[in-house]
Amino acid sequence: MIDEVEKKVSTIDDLVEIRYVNDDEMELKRTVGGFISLKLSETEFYPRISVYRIFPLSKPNEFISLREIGTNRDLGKEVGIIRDIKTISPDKVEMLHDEIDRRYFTPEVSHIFTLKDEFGYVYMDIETSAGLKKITVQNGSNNFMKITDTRIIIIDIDGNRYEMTDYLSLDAKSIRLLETMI
Amino acid sequence: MTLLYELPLSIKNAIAKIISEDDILFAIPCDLNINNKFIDGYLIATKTEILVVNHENEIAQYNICDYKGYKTTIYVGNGIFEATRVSDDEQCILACFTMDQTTRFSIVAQRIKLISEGKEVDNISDEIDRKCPKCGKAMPRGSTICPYCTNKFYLIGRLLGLTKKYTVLLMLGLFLLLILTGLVILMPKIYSMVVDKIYIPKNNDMGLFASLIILYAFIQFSITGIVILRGRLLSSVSNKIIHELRIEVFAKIHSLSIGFVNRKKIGDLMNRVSNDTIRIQQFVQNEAIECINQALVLVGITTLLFVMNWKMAIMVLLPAPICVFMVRAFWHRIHLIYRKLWKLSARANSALQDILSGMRVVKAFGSEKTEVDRFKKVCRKFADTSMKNEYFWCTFQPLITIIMTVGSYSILWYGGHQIISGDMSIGQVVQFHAYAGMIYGPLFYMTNLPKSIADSVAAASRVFDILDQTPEVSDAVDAETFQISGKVIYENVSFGYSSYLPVLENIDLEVEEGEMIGLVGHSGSGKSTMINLLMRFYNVNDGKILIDGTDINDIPQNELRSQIGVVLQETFLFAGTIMDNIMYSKPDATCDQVIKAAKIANAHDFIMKFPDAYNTSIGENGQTLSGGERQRIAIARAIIHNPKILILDEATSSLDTETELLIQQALQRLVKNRTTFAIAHRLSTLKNANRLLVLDHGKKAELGTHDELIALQGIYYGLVMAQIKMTRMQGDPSLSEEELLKDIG
Repeated sequence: MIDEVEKKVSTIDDLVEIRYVNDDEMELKRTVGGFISLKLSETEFYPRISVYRIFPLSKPNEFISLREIGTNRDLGKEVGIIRDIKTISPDKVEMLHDEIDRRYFTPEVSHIFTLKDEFGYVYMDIETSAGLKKITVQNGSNNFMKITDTRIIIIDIDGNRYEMTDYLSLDAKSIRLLETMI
Repeated sequence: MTLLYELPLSIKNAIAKIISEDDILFAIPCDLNINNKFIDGYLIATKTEILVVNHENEIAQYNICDYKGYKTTIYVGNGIFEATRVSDDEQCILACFTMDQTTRFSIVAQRIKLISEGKEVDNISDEIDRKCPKCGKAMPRGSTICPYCTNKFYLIGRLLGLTKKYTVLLMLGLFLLLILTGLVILMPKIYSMVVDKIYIPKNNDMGLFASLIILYAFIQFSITGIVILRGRLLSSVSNKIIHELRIEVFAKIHSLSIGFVNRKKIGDLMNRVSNDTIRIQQFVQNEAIECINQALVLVGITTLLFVMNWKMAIMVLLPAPICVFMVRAFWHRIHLIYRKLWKLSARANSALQDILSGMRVVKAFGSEKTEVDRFKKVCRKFADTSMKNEYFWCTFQPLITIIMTVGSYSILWYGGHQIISGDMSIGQVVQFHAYAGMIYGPLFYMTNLPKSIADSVAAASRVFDILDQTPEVSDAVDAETFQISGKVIYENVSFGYSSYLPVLENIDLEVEEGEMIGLVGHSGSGKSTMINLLMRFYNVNDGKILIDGTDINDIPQNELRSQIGVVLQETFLFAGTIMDNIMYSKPDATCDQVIKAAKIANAHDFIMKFPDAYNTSIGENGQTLSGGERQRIAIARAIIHNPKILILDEATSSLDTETELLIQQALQRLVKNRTTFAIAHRLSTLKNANRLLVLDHGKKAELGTHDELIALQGIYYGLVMAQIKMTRMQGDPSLSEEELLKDIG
């Protein structure tokens, strides 16, 4: 009797379904204009899709959301989710990564030349995987985000992001300068 | 914001074959390539062509007419400029950019889109640049003055200009300072006389001894007296200056438009009124006069040291800069440790606040242990850093003392030789020693002075930034008093809070006197913006708004707003009594009028339940009242001055059904024969509206009565149907569609 009652209680799995897409059913193609298109079946074709990370910081290569194209204000409709990018064939992974890297542009910082804290801003000269850059970070807010004890993301006043996967692996000067802010 | 940058010569040469320099309409930095590398490129556009030039002068060329739908797509940390090719409808990436260029690219994309549609555009933008166009560094939040590029002497001059009115008092302060400096320098001299004339010769001349002691004490008392007098004088002057400045800044902020205030963030403005003015006060009190004093002490003592014994003076002065440098280096370290400690303490505090204020949730989910562990971890870190800090401090302080006394050793050694050889008396060496000790104060002060002045100048620039603003929404010179009857016309009105993102486009609407217009649409469709423009919180970008045939720009803002009553969803009440709040829009209202307004707003009865009735103090933002009670007081406040136009912006949306009914009844009485604009998500609220205007993405989509719009089966019909479904889900499912439709209509 109790068992029957328990069986009737619906779990969240019964209430909602996630559409996971796998490698076989997914046909990705690069468009002439530089985007990617997605075909899931003969009747389901998206001339351009956006690729989002659901857990951008903690699981960057898992739970990848494929969406129809939206606007700057609204997201497009979710078409499906790739559970783990490892299960996808390499040519498709390359295309997905191109899109992901474009959407989440976060250069890796390799050196901090100078760091000045003035007028409520932190002015930094840095070397990154994308090249040299002078950045300005608003002081006092959580703009030096400590993701783990050694992983740091810096967000500058314009919204650009810079990452240090392990800041302790930087040179001594960079560490010393950075530690004044974290 | 600049949309036409001066191009580097190499790029000018590279594009010369393709376009003429005179035809360039836009030239903006394009700082990222398709491979996600920073580049020094440019996006250049004429009225027909777009060129994307990279740092190696490679050019990608696009004909504007070959593409349509130019726009930017903003990602995380970068963005792309894209368009759709007309020939095959292919969407193409034309350029990439970092977030530095987002606004600039968005404006240019919007303008190029207009060009592609055959419209005329210019390259002027009143968007504020957050970075100094000269040095590229960010300007302090909300400020339009770059602290690096402003002429600091000009600002210091202007800062000193604030003190002009009090020149006499400040001169008196300076005079007292001069006397003080003289007396301070005199003290060691008296001491040396006591040593040389009384102690060493074991002189029994009690008269001389007593007079020296009395003189010593007199100087000491005089110093104390002058310090008190000077302190009082300077603080009185600085407080007066700052009081006037604060009032001036506050009044200026009020005279500026809502647009300006919105752009600045409340915290910034509060900082300017409170913290920045305090910094200026400190400048007047501690720097303006004190730096002269310290400079005098430094010069005076150095001269005295050299006059007394130049060799010993060099011995004392040589290590001084080294000492100052070392101490400053130590201070830097200490500063960093304290900063770290402060951050950890803030983290521990916020964790504590988080846990305590979420106690019910913590207990409900049985996660006490997790939370205790979380707090423990933060506390451990704080304790460790604090301990390190204390260790450092314990070592640092004695070390500082040692460094500071380096000069004394040379005095002891060389001074001793001078005494033995008879070149100097013991008193003179003692006096010399005292002066040597006095040199560090002014030295430290002087090394800190540039930073203090820079801080003051930065604060001053932020304050002057406000004082120098010209109100965007200002009254026309010939604006006259105006009595509103209530006819409102929107004539081809367009508006955007940012110039590149239009919120309202080409709105035409004619509202008759006494008519009630319901504004309907999805969130962000521009309903509240229509109201903001009517209140003239912002000036329209295009078109005009007429009230009784007169452009609202020709009606003084005070006249206009005093004849409009507003009830918003989020009612803001001021700390004070219920009566104060109701009278807010009509300070000369009689008690009789206050009661009447409360009665119309269905507020009288609940007010009477309070022991102090209308004199009940409601606390900050009416925190002692419920949402419905606050709303009804806001209604009373909105109508007490008998406004000719009434604005109800989601006035009842946050209330329960019963309270809403009470307020609906109140509003029904109000809107009768009064021009009313009502915004509501719950469409039943608009059942008394004569006509409904449906907005869709800033454009006029539908206009008509409820029945007309239902018959049209457009957006309004869709909204009504959605609400019917919702009502069914929440209420009685047996109700028929017609019954519900009737209820809403």
